[in-house]
Amino acid sequence: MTTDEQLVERALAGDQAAFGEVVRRWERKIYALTYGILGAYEDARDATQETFIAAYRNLQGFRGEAKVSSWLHRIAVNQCITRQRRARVRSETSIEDEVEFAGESFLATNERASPARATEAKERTEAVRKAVASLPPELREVVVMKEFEDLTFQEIADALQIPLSTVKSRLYTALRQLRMRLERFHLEVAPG
Amino acid sequence: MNEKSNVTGLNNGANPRDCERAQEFVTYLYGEATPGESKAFEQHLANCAICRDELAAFGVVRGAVGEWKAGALSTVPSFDLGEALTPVAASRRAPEQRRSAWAALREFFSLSPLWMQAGALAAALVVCVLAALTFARTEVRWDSNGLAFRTGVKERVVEKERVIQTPVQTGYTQEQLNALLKENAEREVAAARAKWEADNNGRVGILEAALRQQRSATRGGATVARQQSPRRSAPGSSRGAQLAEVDPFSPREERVPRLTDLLGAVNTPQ
Repeated sequence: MTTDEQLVERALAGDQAAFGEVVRRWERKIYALTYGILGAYEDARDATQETFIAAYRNLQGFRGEAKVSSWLHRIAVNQCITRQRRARVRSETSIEDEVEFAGESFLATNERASPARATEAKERTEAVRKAVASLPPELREVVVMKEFEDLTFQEIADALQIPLSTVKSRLYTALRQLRMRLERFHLEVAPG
Repeated sequence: MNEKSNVTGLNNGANPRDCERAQEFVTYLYGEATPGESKAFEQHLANCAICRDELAAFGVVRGAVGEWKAGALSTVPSFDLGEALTPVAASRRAPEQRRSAWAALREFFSLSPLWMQAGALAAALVVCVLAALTFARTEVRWDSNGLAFRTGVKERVVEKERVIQTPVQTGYTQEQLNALLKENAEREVAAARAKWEADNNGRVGILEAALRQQRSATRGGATVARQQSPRRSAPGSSRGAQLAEVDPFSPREERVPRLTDLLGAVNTPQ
């Protein structure tokens, strides 16, 4: 199987199809990351698209030292940060509102299954969504990369260019904050 | 652990429970610990209620997040970046395949408004004409001093400077200078003439005075001469008096009466 790095080399030589393969391999994970950070479908889709376009534009800047996945994740996180800054500058709806909007659309699909379970799921997912959205950006990035993408600590450290110990401490802190927030939402997170 | 409290302010009283083994805790929680680390942490768990409590709670949190993730990412939109990447690919190839100057010029003209095209054409025309004029008057010379390259533009500038510099230095034009020279010459001629006339008048006055004096003397002399010896009335003396009367430029001795004549006239008895 062709590695990501080989595909990037072919793309650098002008093979556009090779980069298309990179996109197909990573689009789901990058989308999960952007959605986890931004909390809105539309924003996540745009950020994912911009991530791959930016990656293609900067193919020359890709160094073989890092993995392609780390490189893409770093670009995606930067795209999310840029979008959040722009949103703040434009004084648009807050991330939490977007999350709420996104949650409503998501929950609307679940409601079709079973009203009782849908109500329960609605409360739960809404609480989780709000809790994640309320995390500071540096904690949110780490927890989303770990929970949504199952990246190793080292991969997260490479993508965010921070020490491994920082990744672990941030994740620990993020989990503790999520626990507290979910408890505030009366979610059953305390051990029974 | 330091960053944990710095970034989030976790230990702000909301949760006073804490354990110094957070790094190992997280590593164990996500299954990235080595067997030895896992065994060591499990031993710690047996003695640490805080970590046991958190391990259970974090499991619930992770389950809730996983549930959210599964629902949110059940449908992932497709990313057909073909169209989005095509112009990017073209722009990336651009530096490698450098366009010719002619192609760039054609693109410029096709994209520019009409007024800009006209302006560019006029500017190009002016530049071409100036260049042609310059090179038409260019002079390349090779002699003992080496290679000399002189353009017509420089030469013309020097000529122009010469023409301009002359009146700037004197303050007069060539015509004014000529007029001044002529005027000076006329003035000198007039002065010379006036001087000559003055001298001439003076000389004429002296001559006239001398002539009058001689006439008066001649009248007296003639009377005396008639009363003197005939030797004195020689034809030469009468001729000299005649000449003196006629010729104003004859020597003064000729006109002035001689002392002997006067003495003769005095001694002569009446």
